[in-house]
Amino acid sequence: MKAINKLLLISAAVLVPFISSAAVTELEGSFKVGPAIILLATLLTFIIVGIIFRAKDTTDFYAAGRKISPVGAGMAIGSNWMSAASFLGMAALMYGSGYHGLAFVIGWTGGYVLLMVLMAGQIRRYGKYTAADFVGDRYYSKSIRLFAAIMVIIISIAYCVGQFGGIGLMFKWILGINYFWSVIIGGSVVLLYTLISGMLGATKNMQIQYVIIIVSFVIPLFILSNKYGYFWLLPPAGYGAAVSDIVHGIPLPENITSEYLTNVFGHPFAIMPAPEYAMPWDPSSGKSFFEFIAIAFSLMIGTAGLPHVLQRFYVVPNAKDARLSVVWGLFFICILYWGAPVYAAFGKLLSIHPEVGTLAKDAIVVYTAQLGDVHPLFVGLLAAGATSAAFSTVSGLFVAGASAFSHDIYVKVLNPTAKPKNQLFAARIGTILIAIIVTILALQNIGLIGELVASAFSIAACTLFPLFLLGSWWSGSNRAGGIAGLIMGMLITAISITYFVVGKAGGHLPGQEFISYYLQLWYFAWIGAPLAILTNIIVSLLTKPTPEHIKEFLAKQVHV
Amino acid sequence: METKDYNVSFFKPKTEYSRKNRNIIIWFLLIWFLLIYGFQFLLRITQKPVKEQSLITYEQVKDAYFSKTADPEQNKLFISSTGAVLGKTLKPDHKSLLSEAITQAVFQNITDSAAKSDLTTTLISLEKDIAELTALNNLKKKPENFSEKKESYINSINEKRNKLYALLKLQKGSLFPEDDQFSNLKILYLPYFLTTAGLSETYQPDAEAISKVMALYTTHNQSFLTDFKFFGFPFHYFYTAIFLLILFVGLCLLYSIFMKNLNIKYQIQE
Repeated sequence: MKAINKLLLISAAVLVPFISSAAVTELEGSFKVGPAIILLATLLTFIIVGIIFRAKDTTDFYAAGRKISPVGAGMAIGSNWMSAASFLGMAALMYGSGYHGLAFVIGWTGGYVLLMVLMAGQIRRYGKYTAADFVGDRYYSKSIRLFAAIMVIIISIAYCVGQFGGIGLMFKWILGINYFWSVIIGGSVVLLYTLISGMLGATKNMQIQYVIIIVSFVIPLFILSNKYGYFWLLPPAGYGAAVSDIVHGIPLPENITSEYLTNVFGHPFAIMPAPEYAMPWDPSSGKSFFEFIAIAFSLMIGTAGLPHVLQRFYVVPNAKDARLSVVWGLFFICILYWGAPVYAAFGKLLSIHPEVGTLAKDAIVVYTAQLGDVHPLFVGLLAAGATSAAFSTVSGLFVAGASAFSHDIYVKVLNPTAKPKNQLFAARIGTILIAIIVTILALQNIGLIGELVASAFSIAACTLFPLFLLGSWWSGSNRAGGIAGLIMGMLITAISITYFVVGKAGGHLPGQEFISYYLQLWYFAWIGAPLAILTNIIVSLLTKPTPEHIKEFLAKQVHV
Repeated sequence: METKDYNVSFFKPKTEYSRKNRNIIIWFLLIWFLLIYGFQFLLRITQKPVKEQSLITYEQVKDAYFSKTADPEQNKLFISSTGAVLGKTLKPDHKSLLSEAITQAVFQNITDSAAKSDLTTTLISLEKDIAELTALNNLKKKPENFSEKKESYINSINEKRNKLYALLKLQKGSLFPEDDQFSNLKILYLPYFLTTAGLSETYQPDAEAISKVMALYTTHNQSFLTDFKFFGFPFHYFYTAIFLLILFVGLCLLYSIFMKNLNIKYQIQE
């Protein structure tokens, strides 16, 4: 018996680093001073830069004086685009459902090709500042302008809910408090930030934000790749071996030394074969081929219908620069999108030990860096980068939503004689209202960040995308067609949201399972957008044609 | 008075410049569509459900295990195959099903009564600690010495898991086939999965449910596109995660160049 006890003691001594150090290190922990200072410094930098490059007039604010170079505009596109969904959500989706998550990666990048060939030049040549301006002018209708403004607000809210989820998670991690208070505090800070910086030098700020976001995101990738023996000079190419290691497994040798690679808890760098991580539409992921295709397609056309994305084309001097800015913008975005799956793969490898337990998927980027024992300052920078990504997007969307409320609804419909002072007041009230609604929705934990943001894409794809596409390329699309198409898009959106909400509440409507699957909130645009386009075309052909002056403008100004 | 035709239609361009622009767009969209969706459809068409070795092994011994006629070698194969699945990320109810089944097989194969007794005692004590720690964590009003108590439970749990691990390692030869290259990892994980529920005399494994869980996690859609390696990646993964993004940037760049050249050729000032 003594011999057994001795053996137990020896075994325990050797094994302690492998199975029992979780008590010492925690992924969440309490208030983190370093990351909090980094976050504060980052936000202050944005505000100071905003003050230095503040907008002098409306044109400057909306379109940065139309003097930004394509590279600069590309960085602004990148920063504007890279939200919590890109920074945190994509890795979460791939960590949770493997290959299926790549539908989001290609969906959020492939849409830029559509933007490039169908929209960028045309929108720039049309020369309106906002989505509602374009729609109202092209479809010569105040009512359609009102509807478009409402959709812009709804899209902004849907987009922001996911961002607030990300902000909440990061504040929870930095402050060491629960999710409820993290969302409340994080939401209040971002609201304050928007109210202070909303009218400042947005485009210049976005370029700086891009640099901070991308640097904070890629540094841990080099460290992790180097540490775990993968090709580290170019992590997005080098992690292929890590994916294959997940598929085929990494056995634990019989005799291991203290040099053996471990995660921060001391768990050995080993994994049982897990082909489900990389194989397409794996049964264990619960995701189907249809869902993959529907998500990718919906996100792609949604990209070409998002008002805050289209608005970026106004900041360049001409259509040629608008196209070049898309090339640069997409390249800058792809740097992050090539990197997100690396976090997911390392996250899988480093968190597989049963002791790690279930991690919040949406924070896997930060957890992965922690599990890989990346220096706390870099992890802090990573969390600050994630928060910055969410802040920049939320701030932009708050401004877009508030502008739609104050300019397109309050001034154009409710009070045409409103003074600038009242308009500004309405914009602030609009911002606060949107923030409150977003906070309430974010606290419901409706879905993953990436999924929530995807819903905004489907709404944009069903409502605004058909108006932009047909409005730019077919003069036959008229007011009646535009309204009918918009109503069809809004109807499909309403059906999807209703079934989603009822399903979440545990209720059951006729055809609940069928609708919930084929009109899922994250991808209902796969059918909604084509139906809206078809409705627009049919009604346009059956009703009074577009006025000549609109056709002339399109022919002369938009299509040279 | 002559009226000009200002109608604009993507499909009916009026000038040579517009026609060329339209044709470029159609080509780009076609390439874009085929290389994204065409590939995914190809992947879908060529895929076949392929079983992992652990499922093949499981299917060879499951009847013997469920009919309680398994010999020690068959039990080893059962432990090895279910252990491989338990090492994956499972839903909690699936984990419970397999944990109970593997526990029963593990204890059946341990013949040393002293070791068996030691394992049982440690496991019961471990579960007691875990239950008490969970109850402590769930308390709405935490006691004053919460942190100390929590740490004490965690230390005790870790100590017991270490003990279980050491005991199991001594029994490795009776638990896993010699050629199981993942046996060390499975033994490392076993202390997290063993459960007294699988030790109960009344425990009856649900054969159908366990088989379903095993098949769910060990059957994968594979084809030559997934088996072929490229830059270390399974080819389809590289194609979707890396190549398609390069393609998107490339298409945007090419379109930009095409349009620039077209504008120069037709002397168009945008």
